[in-house]
Amino acid sequence: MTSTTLGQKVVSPVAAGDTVAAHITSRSRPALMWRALRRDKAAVVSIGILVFLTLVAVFAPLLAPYDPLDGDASQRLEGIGTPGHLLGLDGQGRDILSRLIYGGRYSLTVAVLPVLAAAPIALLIGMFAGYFGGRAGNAVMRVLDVLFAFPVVLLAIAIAAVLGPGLANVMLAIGITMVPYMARVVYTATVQESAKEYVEAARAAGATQAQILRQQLMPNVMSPLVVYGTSLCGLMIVLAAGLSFLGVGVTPPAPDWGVMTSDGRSVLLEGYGHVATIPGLVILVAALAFNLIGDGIRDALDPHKQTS
Amino acid sequence: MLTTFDRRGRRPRAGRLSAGLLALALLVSACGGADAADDGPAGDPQSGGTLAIGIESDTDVLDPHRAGGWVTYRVNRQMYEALVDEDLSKTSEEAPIPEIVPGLAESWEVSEDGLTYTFHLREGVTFHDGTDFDADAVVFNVRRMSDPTFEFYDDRSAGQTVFVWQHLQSVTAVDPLTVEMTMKQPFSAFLRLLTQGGGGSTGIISPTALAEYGNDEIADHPTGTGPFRFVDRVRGQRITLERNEDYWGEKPYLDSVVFRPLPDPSTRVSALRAGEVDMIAVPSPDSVSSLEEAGFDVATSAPPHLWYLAFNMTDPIFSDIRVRQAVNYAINREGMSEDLLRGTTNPAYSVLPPANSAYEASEEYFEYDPERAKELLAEAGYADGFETTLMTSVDGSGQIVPVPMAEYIQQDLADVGIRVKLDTTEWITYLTEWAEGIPAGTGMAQMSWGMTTPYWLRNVTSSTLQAPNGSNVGHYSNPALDEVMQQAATALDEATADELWRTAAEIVHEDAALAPIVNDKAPYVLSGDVQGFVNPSEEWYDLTSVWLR
Repeated sequence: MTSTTLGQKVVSPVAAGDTVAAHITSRSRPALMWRALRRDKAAVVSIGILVFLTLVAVFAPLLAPYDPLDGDASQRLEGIGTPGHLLGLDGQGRDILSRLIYGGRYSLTVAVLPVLAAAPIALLIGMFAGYFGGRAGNAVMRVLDVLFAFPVVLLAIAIAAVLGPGLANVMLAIGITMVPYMARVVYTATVQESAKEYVEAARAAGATQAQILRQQLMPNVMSPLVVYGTSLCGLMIVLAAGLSFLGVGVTPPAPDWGVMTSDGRSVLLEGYGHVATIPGLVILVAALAFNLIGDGIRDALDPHKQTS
Repeated sequence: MLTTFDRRGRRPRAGRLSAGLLALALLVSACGGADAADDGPAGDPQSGGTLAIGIESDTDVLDPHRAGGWVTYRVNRQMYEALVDEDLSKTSEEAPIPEIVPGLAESWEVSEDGLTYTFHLREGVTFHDGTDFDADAVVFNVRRMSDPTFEFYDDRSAGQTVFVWQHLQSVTAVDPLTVEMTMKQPFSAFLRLLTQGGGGSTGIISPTALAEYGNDEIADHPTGTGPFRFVDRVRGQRITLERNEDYWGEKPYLDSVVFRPLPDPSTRVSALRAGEVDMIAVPSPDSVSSLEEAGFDVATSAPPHLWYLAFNMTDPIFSDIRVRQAVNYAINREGMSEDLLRGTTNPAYSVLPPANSAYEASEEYFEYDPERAKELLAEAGYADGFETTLMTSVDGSGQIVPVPMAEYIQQDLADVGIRVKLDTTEWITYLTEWAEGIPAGTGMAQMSWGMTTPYWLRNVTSSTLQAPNGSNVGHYSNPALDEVMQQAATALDEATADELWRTAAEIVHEDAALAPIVNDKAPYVLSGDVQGFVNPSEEWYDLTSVWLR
């Protein structure tokens, strides 16, 4: 096994001198992390942005000036600053601001849920294969290798095509395609951590395998998974938009940010750039926020940074 | 100033810009600043040059009998000719229906009883491989498409061209230049159908080439008699044709033609602006006015190209005629044509398009009236509306911009209380699903189609052609209509046939079995260098008259 995956590089939560007594318990970890994270300005701002976007989406009916689904075709494509329409109108004459406000409901869900759903499965598979290894573990990882052979989009299209279009199915499709990638991160971390002294010490102290997995290994392999997972969130929005473009994703007229961007593509160079660029910028900001939080968590988990 | 190979040489500024500053150039031209072509007097036609055409999707096989779809026929008909042809040198305004003119047959007679067609073939015509064209070649081709006992019979070709040969009894070579075809029943649309290419088409292939390459390989070695001959094809990239120097008729001005599949509308428009292609099919409606401002020519037409909805007659809700009428009344076709599609279509109220001998302007049918729609829904017991699904493709040959159009319909129907879910599918998959018929739970399906012969109506409404055995995807069935259409199909003279087709169309309207939405104007956008292009009342065009300055 080569050991150069993202998970390997970013995580060194338990440095060389760890002993079983020094390992960070799962209880204290979030608190420590939060303290470190608070010092990271970029991460704090990012959290603020995501909280803001989430609140806007939750209270969309109170905030949106117009119905996001109902347009006035006679006003279509009018630009930023059109009276009554701060961010202009889209190709159906719908208010872009209202659609952005509602769009968070789709896009933020699509960004987070597939990753959240894939994580426990990836954790189970990766830890099983990494800890027990042997033939069974190897077999599991080879099966995942087969899935790696398919491009993510192709796999997602195949799954979504079988399940039919719709937000839930898209999330399921994306979630499934993410499992091998996340499992690989967990697997690598597990293999690495399993060889460390604190695991051996726990074993010598009479811990059962279940205890070792749950109490010793899990907290340590969780961190690379969290970091990797947050970095995937932005990608999810774009992937979901791609599936919609192919007719297997969120169905129109749902105001998904990705769908809004791809809708605007056809008029991007016709002098109506706002239709695609505004939701595109929102995706950029959200994706960046997820990534910066991921970076923040990575740094927060890095013992070298904590002490410095 | 004009060279054969260096197409960009004619517009050096645009060409150089495109290399490095494509986006910037496009933004500038979008603002109306760029000069696409110098608009001087056109002058006399001159020979030479390569015409590059950006087409809306890759083509099917280059075997005229087997191929399906307009996109493919537009390529095939430059290489292949049928016994009779259409005069495509006139615009829709000049000739709403292209006249039937001699093709490989110089003249023909139809017997009094309408059962025997005698074709007198053109003399001295040779195929691109040097084979002589004669009556045996015609018989060879017709048997390939219709006679299961023939050595070169081809199932796929037969399936695609059944609409032409379904009533054929026999085909015989009377002498080297005379072919006689007899029918089992009179078939008034026969000659027109010989010229059609939406499904399979009847272009005559060299029998020598067919014997050499076989039914499967001939598509890689197209060998016809047409004004252009095949050079090469790189799938998904390009198809190149060159002038047939031995052509029997007016030889083309162009040295060669390159068809480039560019499925994405914005890519097509960009390629045109950058000078990579000289003309494009199906510009996005929103690009048309800025292209015009930038100096490009837009050639529109009125071909038989109807974008319509078929209703699922087996659906518990849509089996009620009042619901179907309500949907028809609720859709603002003018608004869609003018606002959403920027005038690239005409609102359609008739199931027969204007480019049709039996067309009657019938705007009294289902003019936009949401109040009337609400009343009808209330009468039908849906005062609070209902939920249903509309299936549509996301792209495809002739589909215009199906998703925005479906969204527009969705909003119109929401206004009268019908909550529509869109079921969107990629084109090739959609075609398969559509051909299987509208599934249970789905109320409506979108398609865009049409022919210059009213015979087309039978394809989408005859109870004998219900999906999956035909294109009547909504399983519409009206015995009275079937009877009228049978009479129309077998009528001996065209006037009687047209009268019967009008009656048939009226029945379809009374049943509100379909919702015609818009007729496409099938715009082509041309650089100022392209001269002599005519966009006729068909979904295909002739390139022999086109020249480059």
